[in-house]
Amino acid sequence: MFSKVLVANRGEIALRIVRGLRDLDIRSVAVYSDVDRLSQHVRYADEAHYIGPADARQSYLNVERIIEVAKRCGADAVHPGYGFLAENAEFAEACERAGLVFIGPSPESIRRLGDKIEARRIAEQAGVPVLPGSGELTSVEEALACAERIGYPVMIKAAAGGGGRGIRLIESPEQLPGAAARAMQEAAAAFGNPAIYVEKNLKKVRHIEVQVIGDRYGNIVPLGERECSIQRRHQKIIEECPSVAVSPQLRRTLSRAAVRIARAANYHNVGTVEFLLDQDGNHYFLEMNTRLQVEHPVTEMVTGTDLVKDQILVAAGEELPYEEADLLTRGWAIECRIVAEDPFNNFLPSVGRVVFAREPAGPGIRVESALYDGIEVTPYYDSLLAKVTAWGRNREGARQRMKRALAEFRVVGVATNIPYLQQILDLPDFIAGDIDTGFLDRNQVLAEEHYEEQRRAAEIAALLLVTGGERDTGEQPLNGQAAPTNGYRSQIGAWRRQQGGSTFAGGAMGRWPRSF
Amino acid sequence: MAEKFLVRTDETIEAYEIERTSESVRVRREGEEHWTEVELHRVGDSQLYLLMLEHQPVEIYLERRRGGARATIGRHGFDFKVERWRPQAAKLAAQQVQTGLRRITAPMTGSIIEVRCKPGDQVAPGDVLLVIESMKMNNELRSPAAGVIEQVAVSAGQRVNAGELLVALHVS
Repeated sequence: MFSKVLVANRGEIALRIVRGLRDLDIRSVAVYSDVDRLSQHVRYADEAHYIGPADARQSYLNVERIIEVAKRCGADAVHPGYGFLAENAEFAEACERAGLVFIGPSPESIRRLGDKIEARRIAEQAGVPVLPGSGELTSVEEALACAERIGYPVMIKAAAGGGGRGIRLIESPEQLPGAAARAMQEAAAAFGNPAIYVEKNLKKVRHIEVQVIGDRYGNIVPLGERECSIQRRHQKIIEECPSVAVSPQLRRTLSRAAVRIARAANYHNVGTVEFLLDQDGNHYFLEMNTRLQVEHPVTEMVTGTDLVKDQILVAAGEELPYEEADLLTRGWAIECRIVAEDPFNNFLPSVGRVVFAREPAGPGIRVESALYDGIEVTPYYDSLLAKVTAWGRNREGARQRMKRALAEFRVVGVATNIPYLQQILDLPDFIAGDIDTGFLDRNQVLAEEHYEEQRRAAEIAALLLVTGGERDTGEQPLNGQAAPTNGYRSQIGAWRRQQGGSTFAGGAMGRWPRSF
Repeated sequence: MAEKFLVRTDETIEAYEIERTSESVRVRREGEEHWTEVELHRVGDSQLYLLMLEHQPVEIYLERRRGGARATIGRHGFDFKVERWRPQAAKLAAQQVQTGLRRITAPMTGSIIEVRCKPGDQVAPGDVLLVIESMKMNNELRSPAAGVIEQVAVSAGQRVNAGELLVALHVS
């Protein structure tokens, strides 16, 4: 087993991994950039090392620097989390060369499954249906011919895509040349690979994914499906486990398909096989993510597993401690991603200081968060602030708990999508489970802004503060006597004077609290 | 006996009356008939306050500022000046907030990808003025109000810092 692991990531996922390591009694090493010195993952880790400027290319994506730190601090292994270097085959190879275990699949698996065209080929060979589409395209003419063959609308996708980038929906032949050029440009800039391919775009499909975990002895266990159809700009924002659309029979079919694909790619580690499910119940392989995913907590809450812990164990060469038949699923879990985006202003990212944050708690609620009072939300990284996962005996129980949790969540100082999430959870189609990947485009959800009410409250609070009218309920007892509660400052001042203590200066206006 | 104050920002001005008794504090905005019962409690030693508005709890972060306070509630931060109401002060403040020029500043650090307006353009609320790349996403910056573009202070390709002037809009 490892004795020390470096976590090559930041934010909530780095903290999640630090916690997993501590559960295994393994020492954790955090790394941080200039703007993350005070981050939670730094404070919770056993060791923390500076790796460079805020720009991720010079810190969290700096392979040489991370490996140098890992070697210097005596780590045995590196956990990449998600994003950054998690699906970077060169990084996995560099770890191996440096004598460090990369907590993830082999570089070969990452490479094959990271190329979506190659991944389609693996799925086809494994007998899993894929969407009608093309292989790698080298010209607009080829794309046009393929789109003509499979019929519009089609999607243009980057072969090395991820995170919703490099994807274009094409409704007609006229749109294709320009969109193909833009997608290639975006793919080259984002992934260093301009290759694109065309895929049939189905109407009203669900995004269903199967979580798998494999060890180095050929054991691959499916851990059920997640429903990830609630997406904005191709980015998931609400995920749940299980899916209302998946029957036990379909679950078996999808699980078998996922295992076949993982086996064909000689996969070991946690991974996720993504499918599209159409209204007739047909499923199509979409891609495989070769890493831990943002939404892994919903699976953990329903299956009772600890995916991070298991991921570390299999990376250390241990055999999986369970088989598919050992898993007992229980209840329903829903996850909401809390991001620093302003739903009232075209979802612009919101940066600035979170002056106060309070996370929800209570029965059935789990929070993974990077928040703390005073955190600066910077423009350098993605906008995920926290994830809330609610568990219930059934879907409605989980939904109600999620509503309660979101109502408790306070983030003061920057905008978040919490009001938007609250409104989605109340939509009749969401409640009925009638969702698909176009759900948020059809339901133009935008919560009512309470700007005027908020402004009025702020105005009154400022007025009371400046004119000395606040009640002071936070006094500590002096001389062993209980301080008066709910008294105005003047009353406490009088009481303090009686005790021989200091007096209050009174209100900033110099007159209050004279009149009461 | 009620006392009267002016509460103002760079763009708005309100007159408030406060009436305090040993039992309660009530406020009302000028022109309103209804008095609102209020209490303001500080939470421990923090700058977090609980405002009770007719027994409805509202959490607000308050920081004292010279001549006023900054109140942050949810995503909004307001900088208020508070001063005793006097006829001259009210008149002067009203003059100050009547200028129709609105500064649209960068909501975050990023790069200008596209500029879609120029001086003299008539814009409607919601029209896209600029596209900024930040947090790995292209974000459209929209006009908050109808008006005429007075100035465009940035160009495509330029890197901007949060708070930097992008566009000056003459609100109609």
